[in-house]
Amino acid sequence: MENPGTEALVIKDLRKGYGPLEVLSGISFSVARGELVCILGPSGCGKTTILRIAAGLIPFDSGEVVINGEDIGKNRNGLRNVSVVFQEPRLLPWRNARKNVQLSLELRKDSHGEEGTAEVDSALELVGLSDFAGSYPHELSGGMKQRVALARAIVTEPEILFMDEPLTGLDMRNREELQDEIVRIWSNKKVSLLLVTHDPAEAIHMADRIIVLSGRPTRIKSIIGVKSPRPRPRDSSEVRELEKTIRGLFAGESIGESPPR
Amino acid sequence: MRKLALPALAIVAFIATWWILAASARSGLLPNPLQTVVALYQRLTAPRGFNHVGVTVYRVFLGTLIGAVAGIVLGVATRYSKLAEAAVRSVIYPLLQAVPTICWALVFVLWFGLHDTTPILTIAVAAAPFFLINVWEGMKELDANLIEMASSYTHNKGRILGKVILPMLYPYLFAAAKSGFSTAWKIVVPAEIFGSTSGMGYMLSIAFESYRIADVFGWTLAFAIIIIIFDYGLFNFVDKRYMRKWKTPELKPS
Ligand SMILES: Nc1ncnc2c1ncn2[C@@H]1O[C@H](COP(=O)(O)OP(=O)(O)OP(=O)(O)O)[C@@H](O)[C@H]1O
Ligand SMILES: [Mg+2]
Repeated sequence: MENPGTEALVIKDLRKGYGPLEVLSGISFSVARGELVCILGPSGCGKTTILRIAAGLIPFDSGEVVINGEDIGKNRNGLRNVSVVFQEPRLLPWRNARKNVQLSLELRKDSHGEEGTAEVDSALELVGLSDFAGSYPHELSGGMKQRVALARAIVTEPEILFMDEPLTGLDMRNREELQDEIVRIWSNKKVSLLLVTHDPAEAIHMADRIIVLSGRPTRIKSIIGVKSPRPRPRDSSEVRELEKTIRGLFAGESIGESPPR
Repeated sequence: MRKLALPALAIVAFIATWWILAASARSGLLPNPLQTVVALYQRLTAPRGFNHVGVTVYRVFLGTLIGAVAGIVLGVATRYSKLAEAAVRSVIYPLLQAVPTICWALVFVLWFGLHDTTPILTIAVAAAPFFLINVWEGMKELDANLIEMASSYTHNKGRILGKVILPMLYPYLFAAAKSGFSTAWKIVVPAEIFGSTSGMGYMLSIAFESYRIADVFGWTLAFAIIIIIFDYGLFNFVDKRYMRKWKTPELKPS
């Protein structure tokens, strides 16, 4: 029995299907407070589904989802203080960067106007976009847009932050830069972070623990701890060893990149 | 400069043609541009002359506003209630589409007499379908990703509606306002002829009944000027100034 005081998220025997399609077939894992956990799994195995359930966006069939000691219930009664960064930035095109970041605060409480300006400014600074606060999404690059989305997610000071392949669709240079930046923000904010990726190297570089999923009907294949201290080198014997272990788990099947949307 | 030259030429040619036709028409049947402007000036400077313009503008605005609110409320309701969607689909929209506006005007005269309510409601009924159909269509094209993002922060539907959904509908509302106003300006003439004892439409019918052709042309010119100011001036301004942000690649092309 986990102690609710130390776990940000506990998922127990989670099951979920869409109609006749069985997707999650008994998933159990937890994310400790301040921990960075990556989910790795083949395309279509239900990674997004897990995040949607944990974020209270969709109902589930059976099992238990506990956030900070509180059971969110099958029917998602009540909203937990969690944030999601999606694969696409999902910015409002008619709002500039600052107003987009402010949106999450506005949606959370009935704050009008300039309330929360200091928080918004410091979130923009944290993601390195202070100079672009007045820019509209169509004036920003893909990486910058995702930074705005990240700022929007952290400005509400979430207990746990969910990220669904946030770097898919960015070029290699941007990806590696943002991986380091996400790790930096995670440790700066001391937030718990659950990040979905299809890239083993990304998981090895970022995670405290990696949850490796099977194909549908989905179960947990393995949970791998990554002990090496940060900042981590991109290439070392340990990294190569871990990558080999992970690829071995998938023996033949591809981990699969989800098509960029 | 060159960009202005051709339109200017076209307008000069139009006025010249009008003048030549007026000169060659049987006397009195077609007033020339100067006579028309003079007649309009005299009507406007007559006692209560400008009041008629004011009252018509007021009716067009209030009528369009009422039609807009009704159309938007019904259109938004289609998203939240199956019953509302069915009512709009099989009763309300067909009814608004199928019944000629003049019939509404006549019914309103019978109900409310020659009262302000009559032209205002007639305009509202004429403008409402534009808002309804646009909002209804817009509701089907909403970006589900943005709504999912918003609902990850709140369960408050009103807040999501106000901060995400309605702004997403701005381009649709803009198109609706444009068509709605344009229709309102056209329908206000018969609405005031049948249902009012004031306003530019009413003055037009008085001029017509007393066979004052120059006055008929004068009031017609007044309508044309006001509509042009609206359509080319106001809406183009709003379009250039505010709608650009919505026309970004981020917004799904429908
Ligand atoms: N709303 C839905 N209705 C029906 N089936 C769905 C729905 N959402 C997802 N699915 C199906 O459930 C399975 C898991 O979907 P999910 O998006 O969670 O997978 P994923 O691991 O995130 O995939 P990807 O790597 O492509 O992002 C897929 O087969 C998908 O087709
Ligand atoms: Mg996914």
